[in-house]
Amino acid sequence: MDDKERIDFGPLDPTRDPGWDDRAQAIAARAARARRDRLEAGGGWLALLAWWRPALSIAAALALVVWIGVFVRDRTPVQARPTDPALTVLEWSLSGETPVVGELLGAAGGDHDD
Amino acid sequence: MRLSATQVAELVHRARKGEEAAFAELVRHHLRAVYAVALGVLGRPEDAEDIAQEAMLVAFERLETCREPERFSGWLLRIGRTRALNALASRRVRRDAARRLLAGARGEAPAPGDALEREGLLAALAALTDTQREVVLLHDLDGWTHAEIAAGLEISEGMSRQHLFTARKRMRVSLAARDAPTREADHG
Repeated sequence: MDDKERIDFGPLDPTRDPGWDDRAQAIAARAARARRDRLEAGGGWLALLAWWRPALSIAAALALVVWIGVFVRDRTPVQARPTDPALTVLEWSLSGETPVVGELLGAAGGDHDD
Repeated sequence: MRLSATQVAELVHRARKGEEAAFAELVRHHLRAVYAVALGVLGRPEDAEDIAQEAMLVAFERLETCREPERFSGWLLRIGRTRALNALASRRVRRDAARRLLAGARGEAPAPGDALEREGLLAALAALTDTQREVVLLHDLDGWTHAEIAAGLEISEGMSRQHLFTARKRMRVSLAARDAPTREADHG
């Protein structure tokens, strides 16, 4: 149906001009020459220009993952950690572990920065 | 033969590396479409041709900024449309009498019959909306499918069909009205 109904734009078709192909070829040649010149002059900058958006996206995604990790760790319920000093000491004695000073202080409820 | 979006993307990648054959293919498959869009805006074939060539070169210079090479065609049409609108707004585009004289001297002027048909078509196009003009020119002049038009102009395929239908109908009415006095004169 489309073909039958088609408007004949022949008189406005630029490709009927014999010089059309030459002009098209000239555009391609000019563009290719300009591109090669640019690649030779500053390939590194072009690559940077081409990759800065993906690189920025990856950096933002990584930052988000790290932030979520920190957020989740800080939100870990206190009950999840062994806080009962008696249980901690029992655990050490059963495993035959020798706790360091920081761990002892931690088990006793104090803070210790190494 | 029309190119698929994947083939176009492949050509864009090759063009980015400076491959002249890729540029040539991109020009061959897109120059007339950009011309069609520019013609829709400017209404003058000679100016549309200049703008199409200019837009093509600008697009190639900015090839890095085409973030989705699969959608190169639509991106290129936007560049062509913007440049045509800028040309129209700044009144940069004018009929150049000297150029026409020169073209005539070189024998490039269209045949009288062709010129009449061109005028008729341009007048009929002028009666359409911007989108109708772009759709009918891309479809009937450059052979785009509705799917390609939809992707290129960011409209639905249904809208593309609707615009084409309305554009053709309105153009036929304009062309028929233009032909009527000629026929009457011929018979009278």
